[in-house]
Amino acid sequence: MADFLKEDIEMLIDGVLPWPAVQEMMRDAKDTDRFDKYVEILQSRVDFSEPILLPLTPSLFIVAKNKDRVVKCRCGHDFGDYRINWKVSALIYVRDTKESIGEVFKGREMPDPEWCQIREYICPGCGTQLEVEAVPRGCPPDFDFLPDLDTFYDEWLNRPLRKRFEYRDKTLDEVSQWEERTYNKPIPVLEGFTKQFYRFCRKGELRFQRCKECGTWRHVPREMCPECGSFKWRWERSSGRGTVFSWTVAERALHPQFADDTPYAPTVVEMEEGVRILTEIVDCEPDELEIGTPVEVVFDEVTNKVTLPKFRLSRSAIRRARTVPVESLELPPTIHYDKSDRVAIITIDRPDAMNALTKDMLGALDRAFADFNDDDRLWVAILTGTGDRAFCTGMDLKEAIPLLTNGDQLGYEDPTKRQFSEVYKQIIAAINGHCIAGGLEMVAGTDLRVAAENATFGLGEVRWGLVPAGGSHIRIPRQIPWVIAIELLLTGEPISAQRAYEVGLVNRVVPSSELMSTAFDLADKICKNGPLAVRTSKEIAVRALGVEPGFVLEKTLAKKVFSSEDAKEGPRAFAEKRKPDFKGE
Amino acid sequence: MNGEACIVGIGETKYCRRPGSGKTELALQLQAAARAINDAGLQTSQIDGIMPFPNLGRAEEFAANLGCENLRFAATINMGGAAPVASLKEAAAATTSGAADYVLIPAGWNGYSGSRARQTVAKDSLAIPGAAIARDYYMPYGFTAPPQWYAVIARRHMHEFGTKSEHLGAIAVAMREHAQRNPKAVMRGKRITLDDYMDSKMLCDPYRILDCCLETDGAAAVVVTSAERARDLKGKPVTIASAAAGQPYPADEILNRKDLFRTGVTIAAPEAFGQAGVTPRDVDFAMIYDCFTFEVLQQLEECGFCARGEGGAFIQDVGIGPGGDLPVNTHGGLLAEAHVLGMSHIVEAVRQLRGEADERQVDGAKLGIVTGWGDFGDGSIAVLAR
Repeated sequence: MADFLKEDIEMLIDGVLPWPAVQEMMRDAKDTDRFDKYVEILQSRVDFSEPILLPLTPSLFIVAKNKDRVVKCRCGHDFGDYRINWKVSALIYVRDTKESIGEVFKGREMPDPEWCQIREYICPGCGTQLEVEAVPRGCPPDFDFLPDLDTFYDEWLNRPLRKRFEYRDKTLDEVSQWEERTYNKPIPVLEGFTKQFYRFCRKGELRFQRCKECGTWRHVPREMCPECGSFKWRWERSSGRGTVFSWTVAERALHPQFADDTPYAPTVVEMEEGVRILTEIVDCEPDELEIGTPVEVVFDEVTNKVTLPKFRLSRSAIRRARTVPVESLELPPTIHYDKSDRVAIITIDRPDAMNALTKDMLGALDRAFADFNDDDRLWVAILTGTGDRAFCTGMDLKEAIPLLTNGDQLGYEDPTKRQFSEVYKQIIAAINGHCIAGGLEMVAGTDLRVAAENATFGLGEVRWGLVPAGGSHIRIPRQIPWVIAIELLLTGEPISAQRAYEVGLVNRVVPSSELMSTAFDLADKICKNGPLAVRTSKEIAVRALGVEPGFVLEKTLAKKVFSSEDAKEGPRAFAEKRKPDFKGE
Repeated sequence: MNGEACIVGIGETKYCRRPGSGKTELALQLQAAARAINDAGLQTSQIDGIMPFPNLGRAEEFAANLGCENLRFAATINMGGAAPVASLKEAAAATTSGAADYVLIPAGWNGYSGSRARQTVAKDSLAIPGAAIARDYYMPYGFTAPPQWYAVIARRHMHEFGTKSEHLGAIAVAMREHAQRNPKAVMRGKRITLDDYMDSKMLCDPYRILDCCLETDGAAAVVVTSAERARDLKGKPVTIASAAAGQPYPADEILNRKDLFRTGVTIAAPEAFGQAGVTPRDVDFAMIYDCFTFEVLQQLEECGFCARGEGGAFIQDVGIGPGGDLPVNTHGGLLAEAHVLGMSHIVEAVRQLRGEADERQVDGAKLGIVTGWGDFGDGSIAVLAR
């Protein structure tokens, strides 16, 4: 019995194994680990991580997903339980006319559309054509292959799968439920304004009428502006945000089609635009409702024609509402320090100066983080900035230029330490905008990073004859590939949030509106874990980097730059808004 | 108007729930109408004006059955439960201007045994002015019926002014207490305490079952004529000192009102009190349309019996039950007597002013008000005097 290499199997799968080798392979008994090699190769080629149990077609696989066995396309699209014919949830293109069949078959080859139709089954996830069948009209989709997985694993591989599944075609069970899922609650009559309102909802847009003349928003739709009498209006996009204004909890339905929903809570939401809308808050128990709770719109496609705007609790805002500001530290008004359960939120609030830091603010940040570090009730900190333009653009140059030009290096008395060097609790940066110079140096000292889509990242110091001596030379090259780090350090050009994500500088890029909720989600995930383990884990990882000698080196060599003529010329040129004239000394 | 108008006849059927009236809604109303006409000492043929309740029959049908050969005035006020009191205003105008001599205002239904009450909530459209708005923007979310619409308003009142369930409970208890003195009341013999109220099932929070009006079968009617003609009739006329109606804004949509608590009666009450030359302090009793408890509190505030937000304290301090300083709904109202669409409130006011209210008679009652409430908060109010 020949033992084939993984490479041979790979060539076999790709159809490039030379014919004699294929013949040899077919002639001999299968090598015992052939299946495993085969699956291993396939596994490396699909876009999902759940283990493949059995390939069905070149594009479809039965995979173990949690406790279920589902059919997945190589793109990751999930077709559900493997005992249900995956074709019933595929996109189907049917050729049943002479014209459409004629595109595939020519002349006498062409089957007669009177008795034959061709169906192409397409993956809704990636558009791949997965299967084609030519069948009589009206014939149900052919269930090509329902493997007896348990027997296969028991008797052929001699390693039973952990959970056993009834071996039965369940396609009809699925199809019979389709009828029950028919929506039978009252739906709007799609005529006139109502048709327009709900058509936008269908597209995922909540729009209200707004008067073109006086700007007043209105709901429900009307012909005229009751404020100014104008007939001119447009459908204007709502922010989708509002607060709970009032609600009632229906303990008993007063309409038969809602009988199964009780208790449910028809809720009035007051939108940011001022109009109120009757709706439902999804994923929320009636007793969780409170007047003033922030909510945001979501859309529920209830029928193939009607999409209802519904709302969900806006998580970040609730957390903000629940946070308790810490006043004992006497922080300046530009630094906020709030506590919410186990999470500290530290916010740089100087948006009109692009959240640039003064020495005073830098000290306040240190004090806040020291308090966070010492407070046993706090496990995770979120660091963010106010506004949607800047997260932090580094030191306030107005203040820093005189200091810099006098050769002051600003802080870091201990040359082996940098910002957050001694914080072993988790710090999540929620980067709401430009993250430049000292802003990025600070972020380099954090652990998890979420960026808004409009955020940018850069170290512009060299453009002004300076170097980012806050630890960036040591931290950045260890966090992202060398060439990217060097590009940041030497060109001074910023990169986009998307690029930062691609090179691994941030964990997630999300729309601004989801920034804080994503940060809180990460914080909550961490808080579920053992705090000692999490902290120790970070401490090991950070200390094992052994960054201290690098920090000392940075401080020592940076001194040379900071005391140079160029270091005076750069900031001066910046202040005078001209190109610097560097001498290299 | 040339002089004042009076209510000269009242009539009622019996009020019941199980097993139901056994009559059509028209027959019920005709029975009440015939009794009111008889009470006035008139022949049915003398009725020359009819104001039916919205969607509960047409003037032509009434006239044809009653033998009103000279019908010359027919109108319906589209204000739901505010219609009967609002009709008093129009009937007064008609009889004092000469448009009609004797106007019949009937109302009644099989609110219990008929399909109407339950059908209103089972079908996907409502017989109200804002029906299309409700259908397109409320009903898809299960916001389908009046107690739900008003519950969200009640919750806002609780939020803004600290009104409590106990205040609403006090109203429910007071209505039951009144009903114990009314042989016609469906809830006679069924007293409740505040604890019973607090323990009763939640229907649509903050409304419990005991916050909601009854569903009953029955009809009532009144006859209106000018004071001049009234003098020639046998009974004691009750003067319509004033009557007014109003609508909230907007009236067809309940949620987007700048002032959520400004309803029809907010507009109508100053007009009615002003025209009659009296103030809320002068009245001996108030018949308040009590579809739900909170609406009683709200109307007392909007009528000016107390400042807005103080209704809860007012009810507790002043007392609206039997023997209270402001007896409200001495018949038990929609909550404890029967749901006769507000018409029985007028009948009871007349009985009090005639001094014919037996054991529930308010001593020396000379002046009272009666209100109506309909649809999304349409309102009406009449000041009646002996």
